[in-house]
Amino acid sequence: MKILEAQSATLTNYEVYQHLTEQKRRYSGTKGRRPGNLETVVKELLDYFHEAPSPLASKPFPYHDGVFKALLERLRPWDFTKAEILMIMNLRPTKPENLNTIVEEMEERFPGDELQWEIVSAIAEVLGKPDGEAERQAMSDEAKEARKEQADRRDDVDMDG
Amino acid sequence: MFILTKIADLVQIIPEDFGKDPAQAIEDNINTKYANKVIQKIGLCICLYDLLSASEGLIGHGSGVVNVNVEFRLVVFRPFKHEVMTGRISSATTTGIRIRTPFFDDIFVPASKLPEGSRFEVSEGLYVWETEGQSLFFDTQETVRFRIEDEVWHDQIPIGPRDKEDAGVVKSSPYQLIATMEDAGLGPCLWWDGDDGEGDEMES
Repeated sequence: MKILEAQSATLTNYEVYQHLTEQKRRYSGTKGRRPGNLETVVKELLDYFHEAPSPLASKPFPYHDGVFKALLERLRPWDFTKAEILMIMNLRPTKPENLNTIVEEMEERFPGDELQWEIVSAIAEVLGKPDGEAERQAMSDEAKEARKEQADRRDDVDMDG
Repeated sequence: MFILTKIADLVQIIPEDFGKDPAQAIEDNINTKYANKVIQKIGLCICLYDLLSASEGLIGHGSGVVNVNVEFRLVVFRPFKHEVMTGRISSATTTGIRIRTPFFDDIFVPASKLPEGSRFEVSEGLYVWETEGQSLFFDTQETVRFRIEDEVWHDQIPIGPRDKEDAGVVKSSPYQLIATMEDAGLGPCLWWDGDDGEGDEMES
């Protein structure tokens, strides 16, 4: 094995998601089994993408083929770095508080509530807005389910012990 | 979160796989070797992205194995420094909080990287953030937002027979991420993503 280029490109979550679903579709048409370690990691990654608050889990589906270009175009008035654009694409911040985590020194670069709301509404224009209520519900449900599973597992251990 | 890494390698196709489409045989071979594995200083490999080139197959002496030199790109999980991600709290101890995602479970937030005023509640086994007279809990399995601060690599060196007898040797994971939840907007998503009424309470 020889690493030719440690990082030849960066991918957005949407591109990875597309690659995985396309690969899944391609494999369903061929016979034979794929390697087990591949199936595990692909399943786990898709689970991650389908968990709230991932935009990939929200309905209507926020991404389409030209979405990245549209986002770049819409955000052109403001001076974002490449990494920030990537995170905006992956996380879809729709509130100034969320944007604040992504953008460094936001108060100095984009001062004032008004400007910040303008930016997040521009993002929402391209990527849509999450259904807040449904998303929060999904998050608490997922957490509850996982907690229950954890408790069940603990009970099993107790019984064994 | 994800990058593409370009790699050159030798793929060996065993005679049992000659019935497969050659491209598929190469792809399966690469995925068997790399998928869900960590390469030091590169990241967690997910799967093959595309095959860039493949040489003629050469049959090895005495084995019947076909050797192909290939160049390809892999999808690799490697969040950059200061990237913001989401995950779920899996456990908490006095040293900090562990976070996991379905595919990667080695993310650690040291107690010093929690918001000021956080303390560990021993009876409940979780952290509490006291702010403006309110107590906010870092419940287990809660979905949280965090920022990557650092990465730790451990080369998996085989344990020698002498060390094996010492029960004290702890096997560390090959790739660990250190994160922070100190800033406004980080921490449980439910704190920040509430509707305007709830969200406003948090603003300082």
